[in-house]
Amino acid sequence: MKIPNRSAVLFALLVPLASASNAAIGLDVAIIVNTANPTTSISSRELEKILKQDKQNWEDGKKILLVLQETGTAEKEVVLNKVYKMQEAELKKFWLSKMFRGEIASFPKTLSSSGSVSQFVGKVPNAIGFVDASLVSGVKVVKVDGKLPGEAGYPLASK
Amino acid sequence: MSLRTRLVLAVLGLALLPLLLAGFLSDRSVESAFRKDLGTSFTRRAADSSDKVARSLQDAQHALETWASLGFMQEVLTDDLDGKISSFLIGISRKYTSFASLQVLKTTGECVSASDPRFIGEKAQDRELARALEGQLSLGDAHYSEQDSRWVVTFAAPIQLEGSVVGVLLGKWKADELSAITQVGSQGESVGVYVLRKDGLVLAGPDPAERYKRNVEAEGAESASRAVKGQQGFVEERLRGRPVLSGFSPFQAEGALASLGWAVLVTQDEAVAFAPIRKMRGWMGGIALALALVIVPLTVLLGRQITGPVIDISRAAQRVARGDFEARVTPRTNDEIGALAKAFNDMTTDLASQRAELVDKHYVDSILASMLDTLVVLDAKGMIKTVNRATTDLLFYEEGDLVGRPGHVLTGQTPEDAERLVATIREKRSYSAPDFSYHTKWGGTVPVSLSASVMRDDKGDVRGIVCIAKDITDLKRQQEELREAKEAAEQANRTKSQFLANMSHELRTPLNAIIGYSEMLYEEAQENGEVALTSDLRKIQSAGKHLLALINDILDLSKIEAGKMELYLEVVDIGALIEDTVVTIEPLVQKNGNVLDVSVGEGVGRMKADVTRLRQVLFNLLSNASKFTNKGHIGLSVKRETVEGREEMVFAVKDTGIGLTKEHISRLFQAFAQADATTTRKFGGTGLGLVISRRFCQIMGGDITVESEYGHGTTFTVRIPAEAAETKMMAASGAMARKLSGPRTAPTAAVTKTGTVLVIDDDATVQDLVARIVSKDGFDVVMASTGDEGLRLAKELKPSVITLDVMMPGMDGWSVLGRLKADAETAHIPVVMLTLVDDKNLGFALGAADYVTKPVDKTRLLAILRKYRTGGGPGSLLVVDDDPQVRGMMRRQLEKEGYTVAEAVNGREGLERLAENRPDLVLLDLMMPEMDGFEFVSEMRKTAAWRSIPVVVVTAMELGVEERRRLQGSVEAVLQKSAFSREELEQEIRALLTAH
Repeated sequence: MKIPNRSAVLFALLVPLASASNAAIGLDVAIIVNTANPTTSISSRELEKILKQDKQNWEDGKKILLVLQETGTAEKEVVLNKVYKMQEAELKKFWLSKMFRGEIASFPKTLSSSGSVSQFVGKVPNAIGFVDASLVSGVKVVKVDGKLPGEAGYPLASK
Repeated sequence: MSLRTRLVLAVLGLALLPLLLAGFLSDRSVESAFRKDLGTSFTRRAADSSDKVARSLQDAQHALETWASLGFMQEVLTDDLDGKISSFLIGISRKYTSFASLQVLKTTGECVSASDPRFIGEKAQDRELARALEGQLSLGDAHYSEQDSRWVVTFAAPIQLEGSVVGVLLGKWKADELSAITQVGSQGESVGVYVLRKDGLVLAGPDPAERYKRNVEAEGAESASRAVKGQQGFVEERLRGRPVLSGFSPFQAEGALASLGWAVLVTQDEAVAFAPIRKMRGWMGGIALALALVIVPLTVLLGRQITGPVIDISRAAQRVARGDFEARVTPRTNDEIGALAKAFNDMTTDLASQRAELVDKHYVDSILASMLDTLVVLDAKGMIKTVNRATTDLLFYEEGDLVGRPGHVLTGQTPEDAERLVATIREKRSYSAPDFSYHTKWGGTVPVSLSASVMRDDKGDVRGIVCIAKDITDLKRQQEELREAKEAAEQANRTKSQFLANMSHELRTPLNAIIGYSEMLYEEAQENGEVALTSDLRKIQSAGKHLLALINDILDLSKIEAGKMELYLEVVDIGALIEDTVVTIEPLVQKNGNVLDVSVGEGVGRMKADVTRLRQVLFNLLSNASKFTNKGHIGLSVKRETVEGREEMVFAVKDTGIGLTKEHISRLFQAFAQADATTTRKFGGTGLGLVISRRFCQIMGGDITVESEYGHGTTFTVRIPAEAAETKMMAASGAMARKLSGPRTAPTAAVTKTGTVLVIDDDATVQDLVARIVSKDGFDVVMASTGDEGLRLAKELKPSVITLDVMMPGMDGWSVLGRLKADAETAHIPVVMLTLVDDKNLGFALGAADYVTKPVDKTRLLAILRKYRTGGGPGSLLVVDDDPQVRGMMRRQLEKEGYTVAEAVNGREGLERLAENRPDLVLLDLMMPEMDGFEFVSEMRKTAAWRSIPVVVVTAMELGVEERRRLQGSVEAVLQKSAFSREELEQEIRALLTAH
């Protein structure tokens, strides 16, 4: 399809703006899983592993289906800072090297917004993703380091 | 060339060759079709391959274009931080393995995403990039990509956003894929499918090692060059030195691919490509060969089957041509050739029999032609059917002149006579005429000896008459000559005999006187006691006797040598003979003071021999012994011996005289040779004695042998068979004489003393002598000096015997004899012819019963005939006379009287007539040519059947001197007037008297 996606372009242009503003505001990124998922809490370390796709399977052995948000979203920013501790480009490289090493088959799945992530996780049992904590619906939020978003010490706060 | 070969070659030529030719041609066409087919299939295959390749490339292109158009591709702008493109590329590259690599490039050429992470961040150098950035799909012809470390085809698809190119999707399509596409199914096929780049570089091919290296066009492949030019088709070419079949097709695609200009080549070694053909060819060849191997022998067999019988026939025909008519063919088959064989056999059989006939005919013809004698074959009617060459030659005819003409043309007879002759031959079945004659063309005659016989056919009917006549002209001439020679010889002989007879007669006559008178005087002197005279007279007598002995010897010898010596065999008492001989020889023995010893063996008895001769022999030997022994001893011995089953009398005269040398002995028995010349003078003798003695012995079947030692004496041994028989040295004509002389009794047999002897002889001496002799024995002797007187006295006295001298003046003895016989009163008196000639036979052979003189007095003749007619009825007569008038006259006269008369021209014919018909009487003329009357009678008398036929001699009264001589020569006396001894005469007369 050669029709350029205007909206995509726009969004891309706008996203940096948005993220900048969000940082200023203070955003909590919730780690969500499917309601069926037994997991209730994970450590930040574990979260890193999962997000880095070092850990690829749930306890019960089922494959962890990681869903990320596209680069440029505030949520992604937070995660980048707090979990990955990389920039986008670094992360791309990270994924590439991981792919090169054969640890992962491809880039993890990305979705464009928290809403779509929420929707996705809510529907997919093994999925795990991160969203704006305020936009959680129909999914389970996982405590990170025992903390829920909004709580003090929550690692994935944007501040 | 033989039929068989032709047949075989024909079949081969007509069947096999076309087969081969067809095969060859079909092979050719099949090959070309195959070639075309294969080429086309290669081309198609190339095209197919090309299509496949195009499709693949097109698929790749489309895929790429499609991917480039994907939404997330635009994230190239954001360097694909989320890796959406990367994930996609990685994932897609796993699926689309035909791409060596996929990259997404920013417009700067920087790679933001790639299927291989290593590429990310690198700057792409590909040319195609530029073009793609312009918004067109760009295609890069197959080339080596360092990045990818392989040959690739580069696709560069622009990624566009709102009409402007924001990035490029670069896909490196594996050139190896070409091989994967095109080599499917070609493994093990030896078909090479090549994808060639525009410049001929092999992009795909069966050999991996060759890919991207080998340049087929550079190798000069026509196919390649044509294909890259865009041509499609197939061609036979050489690739790398090998002949190949190449199908080629240009790469056909649309759009950007069209620029590739590739080609696909499908090529195969011709060896392999046409292997099927070759295989087929091989099969065809094999089949053809197999066929040939089957056909040829079959053909040969068939040929043989056909030609075999033909050859048989042909060989048989050759044999027939060479003359072997036994050649036959066994029909082997039941077809036309078999029929031919049968026909051949029939024909040959026919031919054989024809030939045989011909050979027979030739054989017969050549026999006829080679015959020296004439052959004439008449048919049943007497027409000439066949004559041989001898006939035509002899009679100067041509064959055509004679064949078909009646037979009497040859014989000169009248048709009636000829018919009669033919009938005779037919009846008698054979006929022989030794004295026939044929007539020549010119009317002459040829004397022939003819033999004719009847020819019968199968049924037995008379088919013809075969006459073989031998030309006897020569024979006749020879016979004539022989006859003349014989005549001449006989004449000479007669002449000689006559001469001898004459001579002896002439010699004897005076001798007669000497001996006779001297004896008379001697006796008188003795009676008178005149001693002085007696010895002289004795001498005269002895001389005379000696001379007589000589003459007798000569005559004897000549007679012996003429073979005319005959023996009078009679039984004689040997003892008596010896006594006689001794008495006779005694004086001679004593003359030389010798002593004679006689010894007669026991059982000597009698023998059968010629006494006179025997006596002569003994006398001869004894006198020799006496002569050549002086005061010696002479022994005479006789004994009977059996030698080899034969009884012999052995007389031996042994003396102690002078003996003989070997040389003497050898000359002993040669005439006129005494031991030596001196002997003759000393001892006298004629020198003939021994020879004659020996001959006598030999004639009697014996021989004389001599043993002697010179100076000591000689022994002569005489051996004679006790039954002496005449040997072949003699002519056997003593029968007559024997008959007349009759069986002789012993000399001293008693004799009737009565009887008168009439002596008719002009010679007084003879008269005296005979008279004395005969009278001493008590016969009365009456003399007559002439024939007349004799006749008169004969008539008057009717003596018991008449002695008649032949040679008397006036009427000769013969006439007298005739008269005597003519006169009935004297006819019965036996007549003793006295003559000086030796040969006894003729004389008595002439026992003519009667005689008539010419001209014949009819009455007289008839009277004579009547006299001699035996029994009643008219008789048959034979008239032998050379004078036809006489014959004719006699015949007329005699036939009137009722006699049957046969005629003969001469003595010979007379004998023939005698043989034919025994007449009651013969009227005989004396003087005839060829055989005169004397001979005739002589011959006549030899045959017992004819001896008794009375012969009446008809002769001319006047006999000329010649005739007389002849007569005299022919008339013989039993005894010689002078040579006979008293005893002999007595004996003869006595014999005659006793016989009558």
